Amino acid sequence: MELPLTLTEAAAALRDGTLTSVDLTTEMLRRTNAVNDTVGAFVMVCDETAMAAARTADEDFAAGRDKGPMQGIPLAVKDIIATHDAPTTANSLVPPAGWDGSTDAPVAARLREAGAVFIGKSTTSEYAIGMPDASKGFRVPHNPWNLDHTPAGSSSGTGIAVSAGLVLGGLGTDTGGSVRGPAAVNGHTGLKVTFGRVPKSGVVPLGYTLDSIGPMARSAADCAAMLQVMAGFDASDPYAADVAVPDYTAALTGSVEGMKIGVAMPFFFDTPDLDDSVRDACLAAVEVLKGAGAEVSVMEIPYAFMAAQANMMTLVCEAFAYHHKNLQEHWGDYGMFTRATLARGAFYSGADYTQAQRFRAVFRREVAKAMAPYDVIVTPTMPVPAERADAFDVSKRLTSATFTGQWNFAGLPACATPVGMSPTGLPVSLQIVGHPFAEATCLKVADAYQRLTDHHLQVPVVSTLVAA
Amino acid sequence: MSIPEQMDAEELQKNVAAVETLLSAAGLSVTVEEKARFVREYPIMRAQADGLYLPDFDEVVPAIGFDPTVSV
Repeated sequence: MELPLTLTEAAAALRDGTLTSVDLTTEMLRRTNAVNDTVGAFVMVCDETAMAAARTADEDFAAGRDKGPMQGIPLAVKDIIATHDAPTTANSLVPPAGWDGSTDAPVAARLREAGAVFIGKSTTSEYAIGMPDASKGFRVPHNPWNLDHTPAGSSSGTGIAVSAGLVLGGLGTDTGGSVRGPAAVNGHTGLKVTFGRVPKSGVVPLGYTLDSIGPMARSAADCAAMLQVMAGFDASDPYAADVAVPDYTAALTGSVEGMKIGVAMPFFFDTPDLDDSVRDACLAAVEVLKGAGAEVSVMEIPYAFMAAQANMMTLVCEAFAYHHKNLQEHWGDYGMFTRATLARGAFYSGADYTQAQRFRAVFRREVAKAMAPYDVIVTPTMPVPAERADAFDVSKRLTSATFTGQWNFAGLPACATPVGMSPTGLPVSLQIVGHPFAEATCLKVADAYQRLTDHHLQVPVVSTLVAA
Repeated sequence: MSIPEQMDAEELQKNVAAVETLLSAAGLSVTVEEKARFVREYPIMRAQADGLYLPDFDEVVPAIGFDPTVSV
């Protein structure tokens, strides 16, 4: 059965009577169950509750009740986000205590209230960190463009499911790049929101001062539709920001005429860790935006590499506080990459953590100053296309260049959008970084680019197989 | 900066001692292979942390805060 490629197209089809949510959900569950053991997208598939939600959505359409574009849309929910129809395992043999599937996180409740259909709990790197350890019994996620390559993490399952057409969108979380990395290497759009934009209560914590929940979907327009429902204050999250929610979809005018775009050239485009194909595709995307009327110039983000390192230091210290007791008592039950990363928190002192937060104050100020002349700045999302899964080196991550953690450290929104393919047939991605709470501006630039190109609509082979 | 493949004996001894002390203080029991990896990684982590102590930040207040008027 041929289905719409995007959430936006599906929402239109559900309203013009050419598609029902039951048919849409049935087909997406069929695809999911056909390939889940191959691509490892889901920890748990919720066939019955998904079909019940789809029937409710269709009944609402029939009765003239329209709750907006999420009604009847199948989504994936990362398995560190609480939903009332499935337990939250965090992909761990040391599961978070009390996360038994009895309540929805506020973000899940908002989407459910808007009529979304949850297909299941999608695979995450264990506790949103590290890489899969096959010995622990969970399905290992694979990149749908090439099963030998990593789908990145930690929102691996949602990234795979969107890319392979198993869902039309999904939730990821991002502490150092965990929405943008999977979006980049699986070839779709992903938005890391401003810290506090979406309430994160009901999400198993990784880095308390860094975590965010973001939409992942094929297009920027799809992410805008999701964020419209997800964003907004909730008192259950002490970090939630009481800031007005704009109309994200209305901001997508298709034009970048006169917008000022900074290309963060030093470090992000000149590090030897950057793959040539990524650099070329990102700079070509900048030329597309320039051709569409954007005013483009080169700029510099100070302390860029140090900020990525300080983000990781902050992350492991905060995560270590959460996991310390369980690491003492259940070391061998954690995956080997998870425990190797979490335990780094033991090697930093309280003074180191505090100094990182002093640097954070400086970095935020310097980034604000550097970005002031621009509407957005751009960098590659990831320095290389998806790596081979068997080449993963947990130690190498300590020293190689990364382009995403800086924006968690500064708390800024950043959107990953596909900009082409590597010579080896793997997606590459551009990152569009905005001012605080300017998600609409990031999405506007991504959407304008996507109206001029079709990289975000490319579908991996596994998707062709499941659609047959 | 890269992960050192080899360290001289004195440096190795120093890093082994630091890693063993910190793991012990944290109450973590790791495998021999894991300890060896931490010994290789430790000087990198230490250098990254030490690199944050710049004179430019001497008068800066950390980006940590809370609202004392809000009860939790």
